[in-house]
Amino acid sequence: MKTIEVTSMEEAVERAYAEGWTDGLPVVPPTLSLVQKGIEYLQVDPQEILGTIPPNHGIATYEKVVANCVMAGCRPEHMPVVIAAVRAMLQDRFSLNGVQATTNSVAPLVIVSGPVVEQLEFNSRWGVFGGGSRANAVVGRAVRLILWNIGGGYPGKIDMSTMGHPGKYAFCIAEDREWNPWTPLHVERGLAPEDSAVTVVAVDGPHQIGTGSGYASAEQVLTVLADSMMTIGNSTMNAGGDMVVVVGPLTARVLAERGYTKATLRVALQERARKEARLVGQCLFYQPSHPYHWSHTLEDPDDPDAMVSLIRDVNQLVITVAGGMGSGTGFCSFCPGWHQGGGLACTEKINFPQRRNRNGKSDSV
Amino acid sequence: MANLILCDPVGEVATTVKRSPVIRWSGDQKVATLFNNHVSSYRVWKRLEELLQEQVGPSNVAPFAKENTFAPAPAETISKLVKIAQLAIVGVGA
Repeated sequence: MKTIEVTSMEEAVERAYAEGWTDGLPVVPPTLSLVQKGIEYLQVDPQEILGTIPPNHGIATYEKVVANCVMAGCRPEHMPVVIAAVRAMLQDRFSLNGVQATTNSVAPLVIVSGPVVEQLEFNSRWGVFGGGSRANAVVGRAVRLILWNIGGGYPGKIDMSTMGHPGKYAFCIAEDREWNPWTPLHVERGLAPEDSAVTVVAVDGPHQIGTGSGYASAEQVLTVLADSMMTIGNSTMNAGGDMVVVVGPLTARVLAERGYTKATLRVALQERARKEARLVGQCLFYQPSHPYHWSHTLEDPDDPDAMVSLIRDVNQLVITVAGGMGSGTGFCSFCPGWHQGGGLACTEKINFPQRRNRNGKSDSV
Repeated sequence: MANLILCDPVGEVATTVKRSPVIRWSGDQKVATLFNNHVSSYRVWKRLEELLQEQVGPSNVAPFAKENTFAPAPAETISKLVKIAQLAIVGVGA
């Protein structure tokens, strides 16, 4: 690995800027000793390749990934979470090349679930999308720095997102284990309850939805959620794809008490999140000839009264529970996705290195 | 304070082709067009295909399109393309 020698911490910070390594904020200098510490913790060959990160197709060796994790402020134990996120983003269905290069504003949202949430102190409650938690911040930022330094997603050069996204500094939340009345996200996606996992989905920033669930009926909550989700200028309404609803814990509790599961909530929202073709057709963001255009989902694409569904397939609605309990306002968030062709939800188990305990038995960290 | 050794975090770019091959194409061979289906390119791509058809004749132009703009064309599409065309023009950018 190429190395650079500097004489002071100040020079190291400035050198990172000069080399174009940063996202605009200062970074922890990726010193050889910190990178070696990460490699030793992971027990990996530093030259082993996780994959190539598009669009530049930079080779993601463990040492490059670890260097970016160090810069983001990760401790070694955060690194397996970042590695799981990288593996998830490299799944074909995520289409990372497009996610990185699109003119759209989407950014990969990292959703952490399972026991790791408490073990590494991820924030899954108040201000879940905001700052304040080291784990959320450093994992989210490490993912971004990897996309930047290895994938080459520089704004205005390869990343052509016209509006950008504040989540391109860091975009990582965690599912609350205690307040989630439903099946954990990673279990829905095929892993065991005792596993920890990362699910990535490329989405817009979170749109707050005040459901009033502390005072409202389930029907009212569903109406508010559905209506707030199906705005005609969002990509998902026009071109489908996966999307995320972050159900606040109060709203989740209210819906669960009234018999809703994640599965029945998906169906209920699919039934309600539909708009007339005449209205959706006012948006020319996607052209009717485009393979993902909403008109292809209709029996008669020329019928202005036909109802266009935001949720083409219930499995495209990712539901997780996070956020503060709040008052009766019952806040939730909706993150529209990109489209049918990419940014789709991908999950990877987090694999922690095995350690030998005092009795000589293997034990994960 | 001892000097600090910084590790370069920038990934080396993977290369599969060392040098662009020289294109040898005679006017009577088939040309394939592989449209990426990006919304911003419909008009320019349609015009490109029209111009090609004027130049080499409609029967010598084989149009293909990707369903997913942002993912590589499926292997099935590529194998069909290489069976019938000696030159391919692909849509890049957005």
